[in-house]
Amino acid sequence: MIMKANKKRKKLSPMQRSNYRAFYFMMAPFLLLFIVYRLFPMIWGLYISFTNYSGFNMGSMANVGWKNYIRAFEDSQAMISLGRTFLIGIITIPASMVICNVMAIALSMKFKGVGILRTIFYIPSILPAVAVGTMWNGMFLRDGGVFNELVKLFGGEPINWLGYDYIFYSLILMLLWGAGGSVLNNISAIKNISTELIESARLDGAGNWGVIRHIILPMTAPMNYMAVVTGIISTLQMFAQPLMLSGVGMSSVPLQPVYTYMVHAYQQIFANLRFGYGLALTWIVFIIMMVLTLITRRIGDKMSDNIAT
Amino acid sequence: MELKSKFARVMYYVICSFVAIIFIFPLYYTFINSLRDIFSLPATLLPKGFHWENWEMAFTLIPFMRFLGNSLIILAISIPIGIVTNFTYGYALAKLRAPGSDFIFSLVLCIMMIPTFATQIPQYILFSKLGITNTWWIWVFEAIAGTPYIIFLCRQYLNSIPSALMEAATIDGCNQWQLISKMAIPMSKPLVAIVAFRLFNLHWGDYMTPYMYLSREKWPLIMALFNTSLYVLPGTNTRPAPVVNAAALVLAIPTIILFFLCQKQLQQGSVASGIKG
Amino acid sequence: MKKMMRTMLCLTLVLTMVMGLVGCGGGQSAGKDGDNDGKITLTVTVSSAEVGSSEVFQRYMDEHPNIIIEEVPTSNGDTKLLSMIASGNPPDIIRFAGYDELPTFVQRGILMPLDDLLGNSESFNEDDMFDVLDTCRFDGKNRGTGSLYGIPKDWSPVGLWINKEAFAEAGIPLPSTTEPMTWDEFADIAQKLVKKDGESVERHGFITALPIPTLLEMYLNSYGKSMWNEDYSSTTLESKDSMEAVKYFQAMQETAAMSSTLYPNADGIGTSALNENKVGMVLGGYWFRGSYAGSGTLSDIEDKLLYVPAPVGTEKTSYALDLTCLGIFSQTEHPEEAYDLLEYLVLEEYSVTTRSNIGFNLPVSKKYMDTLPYETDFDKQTLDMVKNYQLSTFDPTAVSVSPWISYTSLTTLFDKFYLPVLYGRSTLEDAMKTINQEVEILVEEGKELMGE
Repeated sequence: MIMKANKKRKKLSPMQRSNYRAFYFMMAPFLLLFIVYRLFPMIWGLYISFTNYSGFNMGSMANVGWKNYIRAFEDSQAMISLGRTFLIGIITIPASMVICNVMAIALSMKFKGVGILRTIFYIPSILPAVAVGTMWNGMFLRDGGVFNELVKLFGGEPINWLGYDYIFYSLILMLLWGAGGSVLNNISAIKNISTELIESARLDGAGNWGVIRHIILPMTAPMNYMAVVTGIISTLQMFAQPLMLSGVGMSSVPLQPVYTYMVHAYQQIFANLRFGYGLALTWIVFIIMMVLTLITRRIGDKMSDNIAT
Repeated sequence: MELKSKFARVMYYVICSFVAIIFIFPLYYTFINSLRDIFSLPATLLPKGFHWENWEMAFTLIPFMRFLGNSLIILAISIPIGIVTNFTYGYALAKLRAPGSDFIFSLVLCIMMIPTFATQIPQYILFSKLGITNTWWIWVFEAIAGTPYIIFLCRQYLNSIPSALMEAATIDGCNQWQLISKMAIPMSKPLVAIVAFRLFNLHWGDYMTPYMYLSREKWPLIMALFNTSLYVLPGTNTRPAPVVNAAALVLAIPTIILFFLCQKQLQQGSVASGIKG
Repeated sequence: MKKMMRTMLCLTLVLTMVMGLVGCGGGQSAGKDGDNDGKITLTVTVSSAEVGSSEVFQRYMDEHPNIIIEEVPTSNGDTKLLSMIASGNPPDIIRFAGYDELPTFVQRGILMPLDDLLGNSESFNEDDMFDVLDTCRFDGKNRGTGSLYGIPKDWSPVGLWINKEAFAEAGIPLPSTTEPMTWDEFADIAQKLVKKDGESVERHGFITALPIPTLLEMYLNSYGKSMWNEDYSSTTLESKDSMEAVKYFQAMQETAAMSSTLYPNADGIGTSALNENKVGMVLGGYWFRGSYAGSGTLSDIEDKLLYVPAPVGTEKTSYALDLTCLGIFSQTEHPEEAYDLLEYLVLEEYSVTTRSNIGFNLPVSKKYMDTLPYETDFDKQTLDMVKNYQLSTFDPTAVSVSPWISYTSLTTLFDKFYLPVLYGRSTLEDAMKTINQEVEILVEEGKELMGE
């Protein structure tokens, strides 16, 4: 609030001036490396998306205009896989938010053995991704996998978890298992809430539910906002998980139900050597991500303004 | 928060234990299946024999000590530099609003949104022209450039420290560095622990950067799991699953231990700090 | 709080020390061209495990103090090799798949013709080498003629590994070790070997690591046909013969006679599955035995195994479809040095015997054939089958692939459009039509880029 009021004044206060100086000083290395290390590859990639680059024709590359972008919208595989990726996000992002918050609240309580529990819940998200895929591939096996052993135990016929009909659900299950990744952030945000604040709320007659609703959730909102943003980004970028779950290598494709947009883009670049087209596909999803993030950010800012006031 | 009734407490334990079993199961499963006979099938739920030689192979089929050393070099570069840079960037973005700060924050978000493989080849060309492929300089640059996700994390975390506190301190005559050293850092000890841990995680489990830029001589440990030319039986193309399982656990154990230790610090940190400052 | 800071300080110190120590040790062996006073760095994309052991590289460096070998293992069709080439910092020796990657690699100008280099060589004696060398000859269109672009690291034709236990259980007589069975007989046996308990498959008929397009071409070729048209610009997938070939494998996959995602086997290569009697037959090369030999478990399993000729159609031909070859990058700065190393890796006694002693594939050079294991009955049976049947029917030029599209894109097209057929999500006719269309588009793009 104070900041906003200051902005309206033309003259900068000495404090602000020192703030500005400190800001640019602190961000200088970031900006410098950003230009060299991130911007250059980005612009190069943008340029390539307007050419017919194939990995080997650097010398004879030709500009093809918007052809690659138009092609993306005509490519049914691209559009279907984009829709599929959205569907995965619509299911997993809210579900993992719920899991994450419940876990964070449960694990921020003071109990015997909570440390061990915390470690256990966090394990999925710290294991190397390559290892996780291998493990789940093993558990979903049609013959001898854990899930089918369970099905058999209840007298059912084995299910082909990694086949056409079920692999989508298997992927969702695997993704939710790893949903604990941001629980650590939420726990530390909850831990930062002063005990006095909670105690005074309790004195006002708030129960557990009240404390959660009126204190914990608002205070962890920035963390949740971040989880949504990273959730959107990682879903739209999802690429390795379907491959690892299907047990196919990097040079192959997973079954249609888990054939995500990024897998399609990767395929175009590294299997079909359509660099221009593949990069056009990634720029399209980049724009989608930007829009979604801006929307989320609007909502997020409103929420944090509410907390501040 | 505390649960008052006995029933709630019992329920809490029951539910937590149940979920805990689900969460730890894949690890158990991998462990059991790292001990089965080298060419046996199917994967088992209960131990079928204890073939510890699989674990022995996890250490002997690759130059384990050299790869471990390489991993440690990467961590020793990335973690200390990364803590300083990411915290600084996060602090600047959260607490020092200057013209362009919103734009820079959007840049951070943008970087997160670019799929790594879209910039892989130009980045390779760049590093190759700079002559730093196959050197550790890549990790120095990466650490200074900051990790978008962690900058984001720092900004969000520092945002939740009420600005009123900081402003009060400024009025008391604190300058920027005093603000950071006397207020931001002491109030963000858990954040520092998290950042350190995240950086550890990121670089311990990153196989793409080493794969792209380093020759086998300099590979870190994770490459052993990722690259199918490792953990093959001598002179063949076969990678026995039990040995790979054992290797996966060897890689997971340091992370788990570190987290366990780190989160104790985390608890202490949060008890000592807190908003009351 | 102080405790935490102290711990972190200690950790940082320890890490820095380790860094210093390891850094000093590692620093000496690294470096680029010219950094090490006149030393030449040769980058190879073949891994030390593949050439036998890291000793193989080490020994060469000991013998040639001016050479440093930098090992950068890449896998088929991946990003690293592309990046290295695009940055003008390519490897000197490239590992590639002889059957499916060679034509595309040549067409794109990645590989250097070795003919000039061979002339100066003393150890390269073509008379002493197996025909498989012709797999690496390519004239821009046909295999077997034109320049030589690489040398197979080692090789073996595709054969059939029999699980005797499964055959006994199913009451099937063991196949002949000298005469091949026909594809129809093979399908019949594979169906009989399947063991199901309700919907769970306890034993598959056969497993192979070869992808469907490769199998199709092998099948069609043994009937004198091909899935490619004359000039490799299109496929014959919509023709009656090709359709029948696809149906042949589809029928097997639908009944678990062949493993697929529909009825998957936990083991893609078959080593474990065969050991556990979970598969009746494995379609693969001589190298298959190497997996057991490499882990020291061969003696436990050799009684269960029999190596017989792969099934054939009307023509008795053996094919080498999973060859790993070594070639030289066309723009290398050190062609002679690279060639010398290449020759050492594939023709020098030390490196060849490191691999052949275990019994992993055949050497390219005939004179090393007697270094393959030939002691136990099993050793004799397997090697005799190779010598008596496979070597006499082997044809290196029988099958080829289109030079205009990458083989990875072909196999992924099958994954994308053929697999849904297995689940009844698409018809075979539609699938083959789509694959053919996509192939034609890719071929056209490929031709355009290569300026044709």
